[in-house]
Amino acid sequence: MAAARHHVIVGAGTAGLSAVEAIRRAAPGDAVTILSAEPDAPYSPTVLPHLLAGRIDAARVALRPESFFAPEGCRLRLGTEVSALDAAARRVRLADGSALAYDTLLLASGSEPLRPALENPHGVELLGFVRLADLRSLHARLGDGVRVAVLGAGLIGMELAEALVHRGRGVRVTVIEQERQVLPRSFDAELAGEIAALFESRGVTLRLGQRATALERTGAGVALALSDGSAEAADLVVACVGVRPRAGFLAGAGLATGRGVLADRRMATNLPGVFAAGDVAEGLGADGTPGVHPVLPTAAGQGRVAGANMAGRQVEHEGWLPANAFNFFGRVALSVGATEPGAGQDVVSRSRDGGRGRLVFEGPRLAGASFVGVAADPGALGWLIRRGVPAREHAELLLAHPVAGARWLAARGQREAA
Amino acid sequence: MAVGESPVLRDTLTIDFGACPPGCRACEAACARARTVPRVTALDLPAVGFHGAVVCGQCGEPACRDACPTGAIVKGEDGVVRLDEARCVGCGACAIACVWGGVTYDVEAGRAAKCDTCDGRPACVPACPTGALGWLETSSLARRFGRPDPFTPGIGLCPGCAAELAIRLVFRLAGPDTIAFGAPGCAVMLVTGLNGSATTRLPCVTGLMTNTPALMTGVVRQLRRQGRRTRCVAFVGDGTTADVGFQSLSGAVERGEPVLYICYDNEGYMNTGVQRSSTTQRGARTMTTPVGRERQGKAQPAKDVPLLMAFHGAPYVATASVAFLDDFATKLERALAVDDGLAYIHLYSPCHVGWGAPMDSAIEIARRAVETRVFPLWEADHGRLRLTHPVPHPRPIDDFVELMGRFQHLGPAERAALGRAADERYRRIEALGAALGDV
Amino acid sequence: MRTRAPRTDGNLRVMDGNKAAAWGVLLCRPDLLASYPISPQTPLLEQLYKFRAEGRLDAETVEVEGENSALSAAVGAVAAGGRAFTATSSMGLMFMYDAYLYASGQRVPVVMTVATREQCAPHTVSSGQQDIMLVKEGGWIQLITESCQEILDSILVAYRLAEDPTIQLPINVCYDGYYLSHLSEPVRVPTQEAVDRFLAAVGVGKRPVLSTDAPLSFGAFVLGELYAEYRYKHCQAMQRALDLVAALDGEFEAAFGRPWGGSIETYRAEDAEVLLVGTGSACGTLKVAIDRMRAEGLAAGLARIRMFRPFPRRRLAELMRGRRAVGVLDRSVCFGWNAGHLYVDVRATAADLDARIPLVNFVGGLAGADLRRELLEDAVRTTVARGRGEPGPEVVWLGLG
Ligand SMILES: Cc1cc2nc3c(=O)[nH]c(=O)nc-3n(C[C@H](O)[C@H](O)[C@H](O)COP(=O)(O)OP(=O)(O)OC[C@H]3O[C@@H](n4cnc5c(N)ncnc54)[C@H](O)[C@@H]3O)c2cc1C
Ligand code: SF4
Repeated sequence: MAAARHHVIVGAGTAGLSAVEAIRRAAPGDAVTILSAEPDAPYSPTVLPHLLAGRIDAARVALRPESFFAPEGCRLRLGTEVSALDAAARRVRLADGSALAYDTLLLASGSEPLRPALENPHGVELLGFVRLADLRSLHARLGDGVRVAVLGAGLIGMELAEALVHRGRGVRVTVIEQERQVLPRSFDAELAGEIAALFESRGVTLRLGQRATALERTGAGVALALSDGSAEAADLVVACVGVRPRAGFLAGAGLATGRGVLADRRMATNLPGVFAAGDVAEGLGADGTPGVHPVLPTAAGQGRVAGANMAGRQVEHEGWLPANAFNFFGRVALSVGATEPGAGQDVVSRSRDGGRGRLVFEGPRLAGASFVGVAADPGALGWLIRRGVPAREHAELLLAHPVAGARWLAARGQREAA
Repeated sequence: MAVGESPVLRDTLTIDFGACPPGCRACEAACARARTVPRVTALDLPAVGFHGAVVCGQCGEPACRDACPTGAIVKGEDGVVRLDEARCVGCGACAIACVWGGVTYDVEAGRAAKCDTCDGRPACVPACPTGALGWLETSSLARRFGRPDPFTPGIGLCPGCAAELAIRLVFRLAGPDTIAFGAPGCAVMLVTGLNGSATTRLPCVTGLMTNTPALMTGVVRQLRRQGRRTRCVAFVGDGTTADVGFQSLSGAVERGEPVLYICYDNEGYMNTGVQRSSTTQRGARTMTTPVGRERQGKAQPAKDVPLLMAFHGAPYVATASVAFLDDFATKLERALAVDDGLAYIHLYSPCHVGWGAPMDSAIEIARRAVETRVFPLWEADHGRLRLTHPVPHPRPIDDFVELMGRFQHLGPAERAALGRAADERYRRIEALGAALGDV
Repeated sequence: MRTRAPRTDGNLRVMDGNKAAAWGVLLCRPDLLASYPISPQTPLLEQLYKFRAEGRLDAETVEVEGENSALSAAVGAVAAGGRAFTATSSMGLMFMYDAYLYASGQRVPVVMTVATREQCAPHTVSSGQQDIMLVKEGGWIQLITESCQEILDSILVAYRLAEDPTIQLPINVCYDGYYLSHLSEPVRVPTQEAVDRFLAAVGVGKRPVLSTDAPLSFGAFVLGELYAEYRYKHCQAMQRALDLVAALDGEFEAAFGRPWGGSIETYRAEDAEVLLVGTGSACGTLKVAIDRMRAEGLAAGLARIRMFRPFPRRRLAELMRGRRAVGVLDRSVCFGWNAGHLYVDVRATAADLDARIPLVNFVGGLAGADLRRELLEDAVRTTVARGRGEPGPEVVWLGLG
């Protein structure tokens, strides 16, 4: 049996902790040190909107129970930021100046917000919404009746807007988005239009096709200049224009990076013993194209694969597949795979009883699916898309029975594969 | 559970995929009544002529759990993957991660839901009219075998010998606060190691064939005196038990020493090359009961040591068989709980080498010994005696005899006599059960 | 002015040998007592059960179904960290022979008294030393006592010696059946505190024991060289016991104010022309015989072997050196040599000497036959005569036609 190794995990999020789980399964005797820059017990940023909305209390967001970190050989170091990587010496340097040696290293540092490009001569405070610290700042400034401008109608922006509405207390929300639709990367224009209408019906002001170009302080508030020349007044501005891998601290380490830290199917980077997973990684998609894919199931899957390989196994990630699920004001929406037909693809769709479904096919194979207002099974659909199961002949079935149809097709295929 | 060990799934829902009657959905209805939204999905699809169901398979490494941002999904020690709805924020990540149709999204509540087997009493199963949905109780044996094994892998007995299986089960169930006792015989090295290398992480003692119960007496008395509850468990053969060590055993039973004594009965002195012991059956050929013109096998019936022990007043006495491990394990658990005297288990453990049978036959022989009534399974718990595996319709004695070379010389009349003797033995126990059973 | 301090050498009581043994055991505070009745040791066990019933002895009692189990239960208790005691005689010792070898091979420091007795058949229950002689090669330490006081004292020494971390061997304390077991003498019973102090160096926690805290294999299956190593170490421990017993004599005197005596007691040996060698209570009579022969001008002396196993070979050789003859008194028979057992040992010891010394063996006192003073005076005379070159048989059967 191999001697016990020391695995260092940078990041105590979904990717990092899934890796720890996999290491334990493969090499129970190995030592693991988990580092998190934040002082908080490991949590997922996904919970931020739900905390803000008051849907869940802060005591119930721990990613793992304390006992998870209790076993001998496991060390969780909170408030410990990695400032650099010295891959030649197999060491990471910590912000306090000390160093930590590793046998294998996982980079799972997640994302950080993108800064919007706009003029801000008065230095108006731009809030973010990706970490608990951001939530705390927001909380501190959220009085009753406050006007909040949300820059960006992507996943995070819309969740923030929904949470603010849900929270109530007279808060008025305006979402400014440069694309002509909300959730441009997740839904086609038609479904997005429905979601937009839902937000508007709840009093959210949507300024689509508009870019905020400048911020100015006006007395007590802020004026946002928009690209069409108009202005929006607000008290708080939250930037949700996207996230990017949090990899700045790795500069100069010799890591191959693209949009994120490049990783192969084993989630290995170009440096020996160094792996990457989750939001920070640019892994391969199900179709083989590299990309950053910052959602939970991908972080979990990549983390699990990385951990197994760090512990000496040979495991490959099946590749991420775009997949999102939302629940806005009780209206559910999900999309898996392609949202818009590309070349050689076509769409079969159906609306019924206020629900809508849309399937993208490439020849006989399912390439994407999205549903609004009806329950569907994104996991089963995802499996059909990944495996290229010929599902066209069952398009009607999938649209009529989004859960049972997909489950039947997937279960049948899984039984055949087994 | 130790780090790295996945919890073992125990009892489980089973689905006969596609065996549902059209339009049924009784499982969904029952689940919904019991648990808000149905977590089992009826795939009732007349359009494609398919009628079936799917439900969470309680994965060993659940992807839904790994994806959940709030730690709402946990795989329990019992193997069931549970979703704590109070922690769920309805993000749907689990439903994306699960490709097996195991997570249902409750649109009304804005939360995920999944099957938790109703904690072992699934409401859907009794509702299913066809049995397409079932509840399979993993044998309690698998559960018992899940306990840590204190023995090293790969310990040397003859290939095919079932005694190793038994030893591992015994000491798994006995637990770490146990001292193992062996005595000269084929299993002794297995229990106590060879030449400075141990086979077990338990403390262990090699006694003599004549004195093991007395040694155990000294050890257990001293341990109890120190306030320790450590268990003393012997695993020794039939020669030690029924013959040369019988006196020492008898003394320990009479004194009520709180130890567990297991005799593995392979009907003879197999370690020394197959000689008869007093538990060898009538008719069996051994090296000291060979078959020739004047004598054909052993002339006397087997000494019924467990019955002697029961009448000796041991608080717990049982017979057991390597072919009925669940029964054996239950008896072990009872025996291990006894502290008011000596618990005795007589384990039938065929020696295929000495009995002239193929290497893969030990379990089958043991099974047929029970099913032909040659070796009845019973227990006497503080005087209450009962058959634990009644054999109302015994197999013909030939089913047992034909498996072994040691009986090949027997003609039809002798075989029939063996069958009658087995019947008598069985009926004796049955009658005792009626007389001394539950009152 | 005289002050009266409590005497560490104890109060004087009159008791027989079995009772003296019982007192010795009581003072050593055993954890477990395993018993099976056999004459002539039975009164010892009865006395211990009496102590137990009175609450003076806090020990587990195991009333076994035979001697093999008696010793085995004692071995088990010692293996688990306790102090155990058992006693036997004659056929009982034979019946525990496999456990007897087991105990020494396992290096279990158990203490067992033997009220020595003849073997059956012919059937007898009378005194003799055949029983302990038949097990002398069994790897135990054997002490043979001469008086009731020595029985008690030797039990204290036995626990101290057996449990010493450098020894770890079982010990027999032997005393002649009936002659000592049933003979009443004044015996000093030391105080409990004095005994506790004497035994403080040994006891629980001072040796590896069977426990699930630190699992060990007790009695593993061993082959070839490793087995030889066990035996070699066993012999070395035996050898160490010879040295330790000398040192313990000093410790004993410091604790109880009187010597225990060491491996060999000598009597008028310094200037003796001939040396008699013997064991046990018969040496009492032999001493009287020697005194009387001295009065007749025959310079005889005595070496009484107190520690019979390991055999104090070097010391005995020193005592034999330069004597005109050596006579050996045996109360047992070594078939095949057709002489006494002790005689065979003395003969072997004589090989350590440069000069050849005439040796003569007196076999007598079998099955309780009286070793009268006259017989022993004859023995002394015969030895002196052999020293002067008179011929005669090598083995003289005392009292036989
Ligand atoms: C508001 C919001 C809502 C979201 N909602 C959803 C959703 O509904 N569904 C979905 O699938 N995804 C959602 N996501 C995305 C999802 O949260 C991320 O994809 C996922 O958390 C990524 O996991 P990770 O392990 O890669 O990083 P994270 O969970 O972000 O963890 C990163 C860890 O790295 C640590 N770290 C960073 N830098 C360092 C350093 N230099 N040194 C030490 N430690 C460091 C951090 O402290 C943290 O512990 C949401 C994200 C946000 C912000
Ligand atoms: S829907 Fe609920 S249970 Fe499922 S991943 Fe999200 S929070 Fe966890």
